[in-house]
Amino acid sequence: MDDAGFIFACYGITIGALVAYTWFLLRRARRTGSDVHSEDLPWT
Amino acid sequence: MTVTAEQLNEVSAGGGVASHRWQGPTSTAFSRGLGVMTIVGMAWLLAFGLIFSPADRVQGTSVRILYIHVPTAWIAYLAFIVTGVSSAMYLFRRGHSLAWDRVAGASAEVGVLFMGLTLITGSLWGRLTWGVFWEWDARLTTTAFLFVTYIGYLAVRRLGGSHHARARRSAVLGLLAVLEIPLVHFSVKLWRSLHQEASVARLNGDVELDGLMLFSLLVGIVTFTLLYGWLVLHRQRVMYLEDQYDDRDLDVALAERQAEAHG
Repeated sequence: MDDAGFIFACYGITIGALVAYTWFLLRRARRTGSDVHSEDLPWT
Repeated sequence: MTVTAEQLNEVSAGGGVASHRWQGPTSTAFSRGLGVMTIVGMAWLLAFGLIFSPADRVQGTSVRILYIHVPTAWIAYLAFIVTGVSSAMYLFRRGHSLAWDRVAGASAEVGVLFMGLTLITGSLWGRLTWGVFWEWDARLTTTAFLFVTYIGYLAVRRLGGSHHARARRSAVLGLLAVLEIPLVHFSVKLWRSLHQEASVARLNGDVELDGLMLFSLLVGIVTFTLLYGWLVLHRQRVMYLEDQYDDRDLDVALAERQAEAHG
């Protein structure tokens, strides 16, 4: 594949950034939600 | 709202959300379903974007960047429009619900992420197509300006004050910032631009893409839309938890001051 380095860099950076943000978000959710009662969560 | 000493003790004793290792406090059956669909969509995007889609007659294999670059740009637009609409809902609906403010903030944060990815993938594609990573062209410059505006919006949200003070000032900024989107989208028509005009979202309805290329692009758009939904859902729930946390800290501080005053 021509230009493979640039193409894989695009896919790698995009997926890597999205996975990193998702991980950051779930970690933050666990930290802030660790001492909240489930009945206090309007979505449960 | 004040918190009693018993409630505080109960919380500090670990009466938190009981959850499985893979179920966070912001997770629900719906969000897990959305997550699974996003993962499946991402696998499809990789398969069609990198393997099944044909090379372009003019751009060759570099057209594969299209399936990432265009969806990230569209999702960033969508995210900023959602921020604008949610800001209007907060400001103009009776009750001024903070839920709208949290959706606006969550959507802006996710939009900044997607806009940043649009700029990065665009500059890599530009290096292949134009020979340079960056050019102060109308589309690129207005996009960079939009990106910086929403970073400013996120900074304004963190200035402090009550939740409603945060919501009011950021809602005004959210309503103003969304006006930049038409300028960015139509910049290729308003000024002479290196950036190509739209291939799909044209005012006359014409589509300039081969069938499999168009399908790959649609896979990218659907997948990133699902991901956007999942991220905003979780982010606004985390914001709810953070707001609760702030309120509880304030209640603890007030309880301590009252205890000092009476002690």
